[in-house]
Amino acid sequence: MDQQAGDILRRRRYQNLLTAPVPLGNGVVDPPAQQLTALDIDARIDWYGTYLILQEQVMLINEDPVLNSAVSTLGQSLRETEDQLARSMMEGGAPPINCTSGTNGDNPTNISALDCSKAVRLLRTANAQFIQDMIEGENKFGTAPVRTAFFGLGHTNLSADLDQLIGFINVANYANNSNLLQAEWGAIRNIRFLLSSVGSVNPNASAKGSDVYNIFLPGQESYDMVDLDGYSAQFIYAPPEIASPRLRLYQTAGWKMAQVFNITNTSWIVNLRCTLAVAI
Amino acid sequence: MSTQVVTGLFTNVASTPFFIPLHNYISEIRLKNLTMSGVTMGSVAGALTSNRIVEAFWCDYMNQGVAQIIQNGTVSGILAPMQNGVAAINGFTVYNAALGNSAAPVAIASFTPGTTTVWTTSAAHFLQVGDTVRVYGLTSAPQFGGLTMTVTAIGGGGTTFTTLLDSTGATTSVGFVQKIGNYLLPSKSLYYPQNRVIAKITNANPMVVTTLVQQNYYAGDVVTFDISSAFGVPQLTNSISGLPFQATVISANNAVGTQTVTLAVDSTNFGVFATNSGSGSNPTHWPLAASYPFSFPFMVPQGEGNINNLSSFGVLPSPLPYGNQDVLSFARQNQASNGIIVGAGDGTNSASTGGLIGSTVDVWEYRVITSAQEYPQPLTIQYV
Repeated sequence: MDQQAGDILRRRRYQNLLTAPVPLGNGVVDPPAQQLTALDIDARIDWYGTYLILQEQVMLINEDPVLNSAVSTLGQSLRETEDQLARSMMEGGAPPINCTSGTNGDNPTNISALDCSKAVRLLRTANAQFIQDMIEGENKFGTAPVRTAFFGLGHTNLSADLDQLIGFINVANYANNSNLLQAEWGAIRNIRFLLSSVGSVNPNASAKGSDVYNIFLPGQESYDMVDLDGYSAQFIYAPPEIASPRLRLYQTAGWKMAQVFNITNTSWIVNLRCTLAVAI
Repeated sequence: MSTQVVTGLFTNVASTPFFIPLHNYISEIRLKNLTMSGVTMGSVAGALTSNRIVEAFWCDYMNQGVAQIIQNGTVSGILAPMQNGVAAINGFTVYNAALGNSAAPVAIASFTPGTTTVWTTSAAHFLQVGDTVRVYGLTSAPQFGGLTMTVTAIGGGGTTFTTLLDSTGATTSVGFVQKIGNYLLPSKSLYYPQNRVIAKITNANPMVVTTLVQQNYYAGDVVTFDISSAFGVPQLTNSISGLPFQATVISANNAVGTQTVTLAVDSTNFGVFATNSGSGSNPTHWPLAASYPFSFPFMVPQGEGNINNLSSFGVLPSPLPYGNQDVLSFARQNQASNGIIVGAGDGTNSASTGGLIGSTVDVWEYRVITSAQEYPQPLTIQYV
């Protein structure tokens, strides 16, 4: 969003009108008018940042380039913060559905192929668009085609459960693996799973008190990140003469950004909740 | 890179914990109850009172939830002796919104089924009205397992609590309850607005939805629904048309214990809540165990909108912020905050019912210090 335009971005979506399949008849009586209504989708940006204080003595004593390493870790901190914010936003706002076709007797159950189909059905019925094109079958041993798909964003602890699913295709068995993401684990039905060690988990949240894993299935344009123009991410370095002008005892390095994640259409994203069948 | 001191005043709500948002590191906090010390502040008259905590202290070497306190002795004239001690429960708790604040689980001995549910714990649960709790491990009532609810009442000398779950027809059960938050605290999910599990839905014009957790929705907000077949009401789902069923909030009562949202929907002829074709059907109440497992029914925040036919729902004339008025209440925003929770109880250091904040409305002064250097280093810093 533009600078100097407030801190809330408003986007408006006009609602679809009802169709009019009934003929007008003799054309003398006007049919009732419909009302044009709109939905406002608002998001308020917030500012985030953190920094390091690097003492002069640390720089003088250590053999390795501490500032260089500090910059690397700050960059990782920035991107992981973004991931965490997106994850948290989806935890609270994406419509949840429980896996119920698994076999572990919990609620939600462990993930099953049928649960994946149900989640995809829900999204497709709401006209959500797939993220990934299909991977066509090729004449290679041990490979299979992959359907057009939504991404399933989940925790790495799900990997063993996914491997147990009948019909699950590991990335190694894709007919073409030229455009894979590093986090991709495999596919089943119309879902390709991206797993991360910082995936979403709700501790002790199942009926039996087990951890519940949230698998987010976003369709195209279901959520977005809004940042402030010219303020998306800044690296800020203050040398000793600025950070500590009297004796130049320390320097600082940090990052700062202004942004917000938002769900633009709750019908186009699902939080598929499950527990594990394969114990950790 | 300096020592920081943050000071301020707050007025507590009776018997309710108070959250002080503080983004700086908390080396120590000092708190004074001015009202119970006899100091009049603004419209709150001072009253020197016997057996009330008037000062409290916490530093980062101490355990969470406790406080070193000074409590008035018996007042004699205009003076009260000061007694030194420790508040073992409901003292200070440092809060990080991203980490949440889960307490240790407490065993549930039974619950009393009804239109609201009274849960009995095997030992004192130390919960307070407004706390957010999750129940699980309910062997004879698995259909409630994993539900998150707001505590609406406390009783039984601290061994019972009430939630808005309509458990009529269910079989009582042992299990566990765990406190995972409080309606006054930022949620671990950071962002507002959030989904809410539905406790019940009326068949009326306008439709009223009760939520299990206090919701903080407002007039003009627009919600959609995510309701599995176990809970009936197919009219609120979007399984056929591809278009979501959206409803505009006419009014909301966000008070703990009420937790209702009135929507511009005539649900008179809709399906009855929790009615399904299976043996777990339990019309107007929560489904029975035979329906287990299932997805919970959710009300999902969508955005803000306006409608022009509010007269259809008995709203005459349409006051702000209704038809064609802009509202911003559902703007997605990160409401996380770090800070410190001042616990509530009976205002004494009683080991079973104590807490810094008591049953009166008092004015407090606080002083929070972030030290530039501490010796020895705080125990919370880990070296590897």
